[in-house]
Amino acid sequence: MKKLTIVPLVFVFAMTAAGWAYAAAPGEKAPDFTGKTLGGKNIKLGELRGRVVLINFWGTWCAPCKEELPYFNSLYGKYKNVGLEILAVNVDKVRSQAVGMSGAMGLTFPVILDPAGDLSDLYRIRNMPTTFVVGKDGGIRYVHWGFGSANDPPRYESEIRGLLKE
Amino acid sequence: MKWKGAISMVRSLTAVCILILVAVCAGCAPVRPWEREYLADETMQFDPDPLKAEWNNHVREVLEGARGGYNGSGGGCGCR
Amino acid sequence: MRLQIIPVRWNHRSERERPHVERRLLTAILIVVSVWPFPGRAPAVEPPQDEAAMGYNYYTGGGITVQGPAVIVRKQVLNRASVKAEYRVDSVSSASVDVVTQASPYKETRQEYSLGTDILSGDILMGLDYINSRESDYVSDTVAVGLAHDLFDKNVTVNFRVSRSWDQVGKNNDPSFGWKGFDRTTYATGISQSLTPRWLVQLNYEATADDGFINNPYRSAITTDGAFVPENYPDARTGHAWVVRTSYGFPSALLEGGLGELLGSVQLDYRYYQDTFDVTSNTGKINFQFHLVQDWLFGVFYQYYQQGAASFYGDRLPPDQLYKARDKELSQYQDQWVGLTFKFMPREARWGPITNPYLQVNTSIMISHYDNFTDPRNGDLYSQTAYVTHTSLGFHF
Repeated sequence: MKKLTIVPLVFVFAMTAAGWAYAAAPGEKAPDFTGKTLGGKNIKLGELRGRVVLINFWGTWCAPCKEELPYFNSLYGKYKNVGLEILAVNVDKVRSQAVGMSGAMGLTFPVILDPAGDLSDLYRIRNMPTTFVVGKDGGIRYVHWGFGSANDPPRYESEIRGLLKE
Repeated sequence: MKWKGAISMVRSLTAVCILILVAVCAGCAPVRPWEREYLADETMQFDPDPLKAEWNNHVREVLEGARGGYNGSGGGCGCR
Repeated sequence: MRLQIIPVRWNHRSERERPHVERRLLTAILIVVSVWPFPGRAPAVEPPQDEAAMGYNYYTGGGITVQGPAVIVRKQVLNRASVKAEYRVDSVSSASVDVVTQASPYKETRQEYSLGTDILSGDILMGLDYINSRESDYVSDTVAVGLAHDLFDKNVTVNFRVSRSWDQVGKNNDPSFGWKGFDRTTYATGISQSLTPRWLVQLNYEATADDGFINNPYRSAITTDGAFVPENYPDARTGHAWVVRTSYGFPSALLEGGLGELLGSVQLDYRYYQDTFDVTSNTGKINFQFHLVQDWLFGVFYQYYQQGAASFYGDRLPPDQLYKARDKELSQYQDQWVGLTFKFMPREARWGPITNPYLQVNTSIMISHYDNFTDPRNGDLYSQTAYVTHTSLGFHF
């Protein structure tokens, strides 16, 4: 009966080994892109050098995303005049859903549309939501997977303050 | 009857483990994390409602001779 | 004498030992669970959302009515864990065909509570549950451990679940009966695969191993001479269930060059079951769900269930047959179950901490025809119509 014990164990280790490459990670340069906002404007990431940029990937169908966006709104209000920019990349296939939700939440930062998933692919997104904290030099400094209303706000605060001082 | 039952159950479980192993190794990822909009919808999930699922399963288990097979998670938003 | 709402009993013999294979496999799985190498590569993630729901359940059919409330609360604690508590009361009023022909109608209350915790580490969710249920002549304790592992960018989810129940069976108004033990062990495994962004398939297997006093202490079998004799079941039963189910979404008409919003889905499932009592069954179900108008969900389902009888089941049995059963749950029969769901879920609603509230009503009818179980009152083949409803409201917070 040894093999009956081995089979589940082998299966377990095989499963653990099955994995994928990471998303765009801290230490890398944030891949440059030009995105179109809800308002129709074009925004190029490269032109935001010198500012701390939060690149957030979200969807209207994602519950944690709906929790973090109001928080980002308040964060933006607090730090935008001292060098923070937030780009919220929306992945919904239907534009009107993104328009509806960002209007309802009163988002003050640019919402970039990515219905085809090109930006998500560029940043090798592995989870929804994902937020990249990019420093003034254009390098990815921190990556946030998901959003927890208890843990993430203090982390964001300390990370942004630290980067703004550079 | 008890021995026969136990061995046949263990054999079935082993066969399923192997099946899963093969499927996993040959696994594919056709849906990217940002493409889960439809899978996140409630209508695409099997038992999104715990109270309703439990009641229906309880009624089934009392009236029917068959047992089990309906636990299992998957699909969904995949959001954390 | 009464028809129990919870099946199976145990006639404990101290010299009975568990088969080696079952014990070793259970040990192996428990070891695997406890030393599972949580992958350090995956970054911090959050466990299931906080939610609460309360509902009311109702069943009436075949002379039995069961109804009562249920409530569930789930809350995140610490960083990666969430705890869940659930409570349900079933008030049973029974004047079923077995009850009225072998005893007298009765009323009873069954209470069940469960506590569980889910711990998330990387792409693995581990769940631990404890369930206790009690009524005047039946007590059950269950412990369950489950694992769900997301792989390949969450396209594949592999599930494992093991549970063990320790039940005590008594008999009302008969202290000499004492308490007899009954154990149940279940092993379940399954795999879910997303085939396309709107097509999900799941394969499950579950084994259920019963051991002990399986039959009902109240029910009698009827011999060919017309005598009522106690039922006698083997003291072990192992069943296997294989399930395949699929969920296919259909979007609304092409909008803005894309696929559009999801209008709804069709779900199909099929189960094949067989066990060591020689019961085999086939279950097929189709379920349509639509987003009707803004904030409303509508569903309709149809299920067909067909079962072959246990080898020692009989409406009338030879007096010298060792194992005897006359439980219609072990007979040859078919049932059809049709139901509707109406759910109101204002997705954008936000009242303080409360989000995603919903209110739903589910109502269904189940019609069963028995091929070899007769009603002793008139000798006709038995059939029954049952109504099953569930109403609930819930929200995230």
